[in-house]
Amino acid sequence: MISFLLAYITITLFAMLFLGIYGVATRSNLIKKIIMLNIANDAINMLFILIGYRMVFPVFPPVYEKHITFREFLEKSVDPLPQALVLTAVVIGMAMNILLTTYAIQFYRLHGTVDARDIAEVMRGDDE
Amino acid sequence: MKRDILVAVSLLVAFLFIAYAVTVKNVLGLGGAELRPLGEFYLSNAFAHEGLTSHSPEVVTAIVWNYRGFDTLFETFVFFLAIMGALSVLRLTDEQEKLVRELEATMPHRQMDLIVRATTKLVVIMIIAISASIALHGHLTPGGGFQGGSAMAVAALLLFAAFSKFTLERKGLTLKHTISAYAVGLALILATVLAPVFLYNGKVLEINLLPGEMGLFNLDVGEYLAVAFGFLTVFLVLGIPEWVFKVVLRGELND
Amino acid sequence: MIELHLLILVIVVSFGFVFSYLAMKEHDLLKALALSSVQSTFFALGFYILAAPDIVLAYLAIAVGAYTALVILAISKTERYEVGE
Repeated sequence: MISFLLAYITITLFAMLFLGIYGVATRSNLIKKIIMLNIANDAINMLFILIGYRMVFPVFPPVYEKHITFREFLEKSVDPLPQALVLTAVVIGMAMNILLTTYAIQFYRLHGTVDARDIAEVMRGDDE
Repeated sequence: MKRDILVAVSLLVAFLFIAYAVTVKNVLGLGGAELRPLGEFYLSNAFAHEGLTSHSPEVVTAIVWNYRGFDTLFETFVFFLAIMGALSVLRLTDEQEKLVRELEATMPHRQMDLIVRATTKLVVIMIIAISASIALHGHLTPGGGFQGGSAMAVAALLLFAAFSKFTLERKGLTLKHTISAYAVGLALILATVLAPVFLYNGKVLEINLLPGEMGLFNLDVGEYLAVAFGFLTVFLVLGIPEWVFKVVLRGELND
Repeated sequence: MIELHLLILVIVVSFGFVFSYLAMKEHDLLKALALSSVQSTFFALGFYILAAPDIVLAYLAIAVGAYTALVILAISKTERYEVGE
């Protein structure tokens, strides 16, 4: 039962990741590309946290409290390292979003389009 | 259309391969009940009284600021660079800023009705209190500078929506002030990082040499200020209406 | 009892997948953004079930608050509708 549920969760997360990549590859609007990129990012983050999860029942977050002994804490707490990595990834993802949206806005101001097919034409027009 | 199908088929093949590897071969090691050795080291040493310790019961913060301190420091600078990149794309000179302010003053001054404004005031006070609690207790409980700072940015966004950007700027929340507060936050982080070198002859980022929990607390406060006002700076610049920007750009072309 | 946690995760991940599929199919960008924020809310619940309180605090404020506002501003300054094939 547990392995079946875990397999379902993992496969759905990978499907979401590939859905996001498919969206980035095939949608032509730049803002839509940013939205789909974030969906792929979320799926990867969730997968990382899932790797750190443990199959013990009263599972604790990695915060030491006084009313549990240290041995019990070691036996029941989840792995803290993926959480630290994902915290970094969330921050970097937001920084990336800020940069990408400002570039898209500035491109629209200068050329009047955020469509990837039109952007190719605009660039070709600039060369000539 | 043909290209879409090609993309879909190649992604599907990759997906099937990965699904086989993850479920049948279990390459990610999911479903185990035991800890990995590195996780066990962090869990057992974060709050020990001697040895490699950071004196923090919150293991994630301990990893983020003590065991992987350089990573987090440069991550803060990556965030800084992203915001500076955004501001340099949407740049305004001093004269242009003056022109923007004149043009915005001619706009009709719109805000939402009384009920929304009164509720927003209450909610914003609550969000600011919670964000301060998240940030200032960040080294003891779940949370930290980044989480508190982004909650604070949400409070400012609520104010943007209910009142207008113009009201906030008249109250003193201008671009200059937010950038200065951002710089203060970054300076606090740098000072805390460099303090062990000058005070205790340690190395950069050895913040467990500082007395008590001061190192982690200072880093939390610095990150709180930096993230909250970094977001606010970007939203203040992006909040300028589009027609104002068009006038400014046209002026730039005519020069 | 661990099955209960995993069942909640199954629901979270399924809804996340459905809403992200709807977001991909939507041509109105504001609606697509709203659908992807619903997916973010489900994922925040998932992070809580996975015992990661730090991530929940960061992720809720970022993905439902700041990111949504940023993209709404971007849509209001560019085009609202995605042009199809």
